[in-house]
Amino acid sequence: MPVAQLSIMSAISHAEQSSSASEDADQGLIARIAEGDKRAFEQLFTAYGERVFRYAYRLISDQTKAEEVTNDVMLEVWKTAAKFERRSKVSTWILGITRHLALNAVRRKQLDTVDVDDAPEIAAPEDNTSARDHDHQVLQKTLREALSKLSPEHRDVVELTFFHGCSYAEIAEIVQCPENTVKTRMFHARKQLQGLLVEAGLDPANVEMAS
Amino acid sequence: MNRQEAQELLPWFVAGTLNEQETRAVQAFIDSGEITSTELDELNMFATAVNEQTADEPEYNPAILNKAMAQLDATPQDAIEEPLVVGEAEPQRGGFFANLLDRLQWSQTPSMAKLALGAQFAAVLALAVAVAVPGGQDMGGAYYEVVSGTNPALAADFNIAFAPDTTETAVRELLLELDAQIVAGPNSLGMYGIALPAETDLAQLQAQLNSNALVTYVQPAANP
Repeated sequence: MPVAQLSIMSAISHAEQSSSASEDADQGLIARIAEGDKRAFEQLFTAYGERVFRYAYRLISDQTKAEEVTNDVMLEVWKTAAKFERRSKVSTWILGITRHLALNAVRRKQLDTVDVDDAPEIAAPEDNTSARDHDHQVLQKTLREALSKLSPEHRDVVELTFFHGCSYAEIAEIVQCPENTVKTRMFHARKQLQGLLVEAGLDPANVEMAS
Repeated sequence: MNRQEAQELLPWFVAGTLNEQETRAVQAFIDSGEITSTELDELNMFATAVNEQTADEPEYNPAILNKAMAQLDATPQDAIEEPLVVGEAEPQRGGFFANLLDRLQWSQTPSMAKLALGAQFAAVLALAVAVAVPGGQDMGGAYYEVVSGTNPALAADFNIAFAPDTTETAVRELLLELDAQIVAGPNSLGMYGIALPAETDLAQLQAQLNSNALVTYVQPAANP
């Protein structure tokens, strides 16, 4: 077995143990919240507040509303902790609530998500001769702008995968669709991102990843 | 897993959220060169870009926690419906009837339905008691009369009942053997009153009848 593979397996095993311990701690907090423990609520809010805010913000693109949604999500957790049935991870449950409330806020307030037509134009590379000439910052900025051009469904899957570290099964649970739909959305998101980068003069195949 | 499936899972391979089996399978495609490092690099770029988006976003304000904390007292919590930690605590057992009522969702049953069910249950219970206890009041002599009427000259010595599949011929043969005759019955429970010759040893005959497969019940009749 290649060393790299052994290393990956070891890392996975370690990550799984760590994740399991973290999940147990989260489950413990939820159990205490269900009994009305405010201290546990504070701990959970501290652990998840920013994550909830980021997810909400990226769904509704409005800071004030994202903060309101964060508040509402955590109060919903306080209110319904007793009904949490441990069928999913705490993070999956909370992100599912976040998505639900954020989309409700979008519908209720008719907030505008970043529309493809209104999204900022992708910055043209200063030197179009070769993508290799772009430094890491320019590349990442361009990528971020390309991400903002994805449809909300596709962006959702990409962000839940890479920002929130959700498995495809967890994403399926959060966005309430079949796992194959999650994979299909990711496939199309990748294709779109590749197309947008090529359009911006950055061919992913020719770009060296700056670490 | 084929190459296409491995490619579909590649983003989660990069994110490190595949299970061990999936990770091994995807890794095998990478090792064999069927999935190129370019694809991996591309996904790593996307992952980095997603994680660095926060640079363009507003700062998270931790003070929103205070607002939520202030709202807790005014936010009622749902009651605990089931144990949160499975296996740590046995659910409290409320006894047979509590479990039965719970299973029947008795608390959610309308009052009229409860009344009807209660009446039906009482009727079934009464019938069951009547069947199971043949030595009840009915056995004290309140027989239905035979079509020809009760023979006043003969009083029943025994009340007797026969097995359900007993034929008339078998009953007749038994009565002939005992030199007995039916003087009453059958009543609602299928009980007959039989009279025996005066010299019969009733106790011995009762024991004999009790051991007879045709006879399901035999007791001395209570004559007035």
